[in-house]
Amino acid sequence: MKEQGKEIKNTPLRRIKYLMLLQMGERLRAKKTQSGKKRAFIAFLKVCASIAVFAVAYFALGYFRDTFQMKLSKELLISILFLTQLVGIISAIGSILSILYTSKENTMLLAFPCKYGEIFISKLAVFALEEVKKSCFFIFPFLIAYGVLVGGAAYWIFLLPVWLMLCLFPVVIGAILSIPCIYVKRFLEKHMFLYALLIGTLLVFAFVLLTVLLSKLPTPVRLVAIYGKFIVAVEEFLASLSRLAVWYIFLGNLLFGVKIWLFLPLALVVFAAFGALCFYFAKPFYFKAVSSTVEAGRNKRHKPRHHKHNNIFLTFFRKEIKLFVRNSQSLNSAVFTILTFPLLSYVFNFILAAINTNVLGDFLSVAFNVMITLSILSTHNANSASALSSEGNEFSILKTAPSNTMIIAWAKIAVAEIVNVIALLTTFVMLTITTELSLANLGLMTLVLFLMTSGHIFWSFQLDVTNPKILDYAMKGGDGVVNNSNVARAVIIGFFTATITGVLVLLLLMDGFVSGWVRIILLAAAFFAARLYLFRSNLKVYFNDVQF
Amino acid sequence: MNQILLALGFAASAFLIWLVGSFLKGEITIRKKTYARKDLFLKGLSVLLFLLYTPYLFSFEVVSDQVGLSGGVNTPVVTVLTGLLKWVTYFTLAATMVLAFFEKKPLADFAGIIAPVVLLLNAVFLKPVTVSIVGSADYFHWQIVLYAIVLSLAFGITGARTIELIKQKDFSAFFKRLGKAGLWSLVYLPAFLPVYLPQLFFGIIGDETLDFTLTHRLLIYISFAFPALAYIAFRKKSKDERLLFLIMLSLSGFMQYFCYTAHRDSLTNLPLHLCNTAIVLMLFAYVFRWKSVFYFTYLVNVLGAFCAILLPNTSDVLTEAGVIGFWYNHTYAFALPILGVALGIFERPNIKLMYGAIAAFSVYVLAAAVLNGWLNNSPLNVNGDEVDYFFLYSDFFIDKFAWAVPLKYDFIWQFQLGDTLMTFYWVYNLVIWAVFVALMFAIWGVYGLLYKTSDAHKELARRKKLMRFDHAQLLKELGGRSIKEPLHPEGATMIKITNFSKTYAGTDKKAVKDLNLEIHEGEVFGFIGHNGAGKSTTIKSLVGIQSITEGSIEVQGYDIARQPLQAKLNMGYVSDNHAVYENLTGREYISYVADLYMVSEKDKNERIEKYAKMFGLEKALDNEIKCYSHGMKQKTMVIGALIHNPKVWVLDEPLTGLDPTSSWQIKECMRQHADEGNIVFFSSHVIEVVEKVCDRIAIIADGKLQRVDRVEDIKKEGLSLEQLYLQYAQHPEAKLPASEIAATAEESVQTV
Repeated sequence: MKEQGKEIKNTPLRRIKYLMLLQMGERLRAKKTQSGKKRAFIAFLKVCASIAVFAVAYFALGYFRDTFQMKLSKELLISILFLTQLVGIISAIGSILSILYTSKENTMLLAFPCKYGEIFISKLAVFALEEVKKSCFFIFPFLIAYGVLVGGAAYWIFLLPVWLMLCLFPVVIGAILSIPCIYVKRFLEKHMFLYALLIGTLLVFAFVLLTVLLSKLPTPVRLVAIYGKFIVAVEEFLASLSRLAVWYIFLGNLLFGVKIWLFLPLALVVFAAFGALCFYFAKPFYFKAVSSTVEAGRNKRHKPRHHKHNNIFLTFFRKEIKLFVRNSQSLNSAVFTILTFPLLSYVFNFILAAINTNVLGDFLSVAFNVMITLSILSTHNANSASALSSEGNEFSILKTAPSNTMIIAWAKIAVAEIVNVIALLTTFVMLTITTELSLANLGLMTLVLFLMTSGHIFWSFQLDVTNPKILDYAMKGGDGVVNNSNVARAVIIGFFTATITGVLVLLLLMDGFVSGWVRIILLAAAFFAARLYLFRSNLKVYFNDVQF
Repeated sequence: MNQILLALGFAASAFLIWLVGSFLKGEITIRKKTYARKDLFLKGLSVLLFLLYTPYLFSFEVVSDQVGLSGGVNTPVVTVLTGLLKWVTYFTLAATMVLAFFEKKPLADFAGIIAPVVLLLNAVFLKPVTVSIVGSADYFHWQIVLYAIVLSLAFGITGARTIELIKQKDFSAFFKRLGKAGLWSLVYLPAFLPVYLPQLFFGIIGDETLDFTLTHRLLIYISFAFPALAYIAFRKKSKDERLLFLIMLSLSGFMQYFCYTAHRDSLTNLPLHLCNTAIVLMLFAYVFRWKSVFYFTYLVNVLGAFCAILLPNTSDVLTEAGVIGFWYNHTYAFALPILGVALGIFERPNIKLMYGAIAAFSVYVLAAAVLNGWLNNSPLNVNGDEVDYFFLYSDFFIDKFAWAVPLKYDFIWQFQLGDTLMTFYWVYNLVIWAVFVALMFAIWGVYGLLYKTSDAHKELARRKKLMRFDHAQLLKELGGRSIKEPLHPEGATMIKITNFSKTYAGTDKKAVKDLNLEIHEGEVFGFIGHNGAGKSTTIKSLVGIQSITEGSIEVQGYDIARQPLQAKLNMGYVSDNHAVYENLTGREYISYVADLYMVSEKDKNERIEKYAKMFGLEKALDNEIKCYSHGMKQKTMVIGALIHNPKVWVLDEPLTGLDPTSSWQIKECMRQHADEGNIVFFSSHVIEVVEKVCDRIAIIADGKLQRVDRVEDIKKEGLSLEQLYLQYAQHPEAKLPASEIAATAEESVQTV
């Protein structure tokens, strides 16, 4: 190949580099449009955030060491790394499934004159770069904090390579595990009955397991009495956990300067082995998995059962329900929330009931329930922040239709509300059976939760209406958009709303049961009304401006 | 006798000031700025009044320690009267100080009509007033002498205004003006309440104001509601009025602080500690527009005041002077900076202003550290006060953050300066400074969020108003006809694009420039041009997907921007990107579209049947669209677009990627639709198709319409459409002059 008279070698590395640049191009272009000052300021803020995480980690670890007499040992570090990496691997699998196999850009990338393995590597490399960037705000400052408190010379020497390996390891493992996961996912999507059966079985299993585990709790749990025992038990648990995490033991030993001559090669060999496994095992499956996504799917017939609706809302609602049921991702998310949420509530309330809460009685329990329920449900409801944008190209149908198509927003909200209400009701039933909270408390709590979660749905939707990402969804497809800033914002708003509501519920109930509930309901109703009004106004004003 | 002497002094002062003011004519230039001499004189007197009154405020009034009306230096009735007089006098003196700086009618009338009366009452009640200040009728006590001088000067300034009013015989609507001045003063009067007055009048009553007791909560509500109400009341006033309001409030905070909170016998309450500093600095920041100082209080003290309001460190009960002083002080420290920005007196902080604020804060921390290090160890501190400005010297912070103990006690810098062993906890102080600088940035971020929210609400309100206005305008233009009727009935058989331009957000370049086009019924109209020429942009604006930057587009007489529903009802659109819900079946998708276009069940079924047969989709119609091929998806979209038998059918690149059979089917369909008296408007790159199917074509290049022709005419001229297209597509700069294009377009329309 010649470029300006110069011979260019079309090497795999060169192709991977350009594939990566192509995938990162959009973000790089967005950054180029920012002024130098703004970029410098954003960089400064990021450094500040990283320093803040370091400070929090430093003081938290110091606090645990000084107050709880917990030894900041090698084993503790290994356990923490192991646990965080477990979470990292699970999250990586989810992201890799979207990015690697279902992203719309695959159609374009597969057509390029590159080997499929190169596309695979470039995609993983882009994802890995993102993971490294993310880890600058958590793992890296945490490792530095740990090092400042207990690290020796070896710690600082091996900090960078260990950190890099920690960032890349979940990517490699995630890539390997994503292969069986994608096949299982597709299999279950084809066989809905099996899927439902599996979910049901898992649910029953989880319930039984949790009940067995919880029955081992000494009641009442007296935290002060079992304090010493508890800390020892935690330390023992972490030590036993650390013994399971073989590769992390190598890394821990490296950082603490134990037999470096042995553990350094071992760590590298294991890492390289997984890397090779990923390349030689996952790579061949990549094209097969992707192409089966890109190719036309199997013929799925549905009986023609359309009913004529003169009401635009019902037209939209039917369509939304159909799409919701036929979209495995949204359905899974809803089923997961509806089924796991009452379980979590059950566990939480069991523990809370076991702890002696005589001082504040039911109020503390109600406040915590409100806080936890709101946090979890609002995380699910934050999906409303992408409801309109996820229409993608299809949004043009709404724009050209001669109807008040902003009604679609209400149809989408109705679907979100149905899931929300089912989750709340199942939780209500579960709490009625499993807790000693009075029916009045539970009923009023459910009402408040309904008002708050509904308000949050309106708020989330409003974020989407005022700052739509339709172009992203049109280009990448629903699965391809991983970081929707509106959704992230909605999650943060949900978290703050949950915290503030929980605190207010506690404070107001402490003032008096009846007056407390009256005020809580009034506040929740005010929140609901304000969000409804603002959503309606914003929808009216900005819906027609949504374009791509 | 003394009363008469004082009253005479008042009169002499007023006459003298009026006389000097009358003599001062013309202007004077100072530092390239021109001032009226008389104005300058009056402003100088106001500053003098402030300078004389401040030391008086700092002195001790006997009555300020009295609890309840009985057992005091005056009888209860006299105590009430002198107390109320004191209150009104505070306000009067403040109004007098700002009089020369603001041209405001109620203020001028207050100064000319009410203020002299209030000041004169002090002379009338000189004895009880004197007793309340110094405890006895000692008229020559320095406090009384100073107070008398202050009152005389104030009377002089306001009395001169009265003389002016009398001289001008300006008594028009006297009572109305008096009433307005009275009302104006009533708005400000609560702000100037002497903090000891509730304790004097009612004794010590009420709850403790902490731990969220009812009283505490009420005070919290008042503190947070005050800036909101003040903002609502003053946001639409003139800038001068807003500034006057803020200066009056800051003056009130300053006066209240000096009259009580700044204990004369202790070094700890000098205005160098937290909100005390803010209260004093705020006045100077407003008067001199001192940005760095203002933003220092805006970014540091607001947070401090907020925390103090929520978690006060006072255990006094409601009416105690300490509590009243505390709440006034912190409410002002919280509200004044916020209102400064909210009411537009100071701009929103940017990075440059942040640097200024950090510099001011650094100077403050340095000064506080030096004073702490000095006063705590100096023989000058005879009372042994614990001087702890900004908590830099005590263990206040390390009591809460034990980890910081070594930071304080491992790094002490001491040196002997005269009799004083100067002591600095330099690392500890440096850390506190750094934490607060970080907090300043964090608060800046929070303010940023609040500004964004506030802007969004303002924009929302503005646009709602605009929408209402547009709707009213449309109704007016319709002249009593129903909104469902076309705005321009004369265009009921065509698409009319007039001076249409489109600019995308984030760019100045016009994607389409000044496009004019008319397409009539029965026509198949081809829109051709190179990639990025502006075809899709025009089409997307025509069908209502995108907004119109300039000009108008009408479909069957309906304006697409103003009567979108009616315009869209007459249109069917096939997009270039397969906008179909892939999880629906073909039938479900078409039915969904039919419902949106309000097609009857019978028509819908008939048309589905007809078109499915025409396009060979009968078998696939109940499969999910995600299983369809490209062509099948395109055909589904075509059926969706035709399901309501639209008058105007718009297609964007309809034949891309279709096999010959599908392509032929769609072409046939287009021709048939036009032959039925409808309009078919489509864009394409396939010149042969355009040449074969179209009656007329338009060529667009670089966003500008190049020419409009009948296909037959092109053929008659012996040109091929391909040649013509290439000429414009490859050399858009070699286009015909605008006049010629317009003539061609017009000619072409006329031919049709």
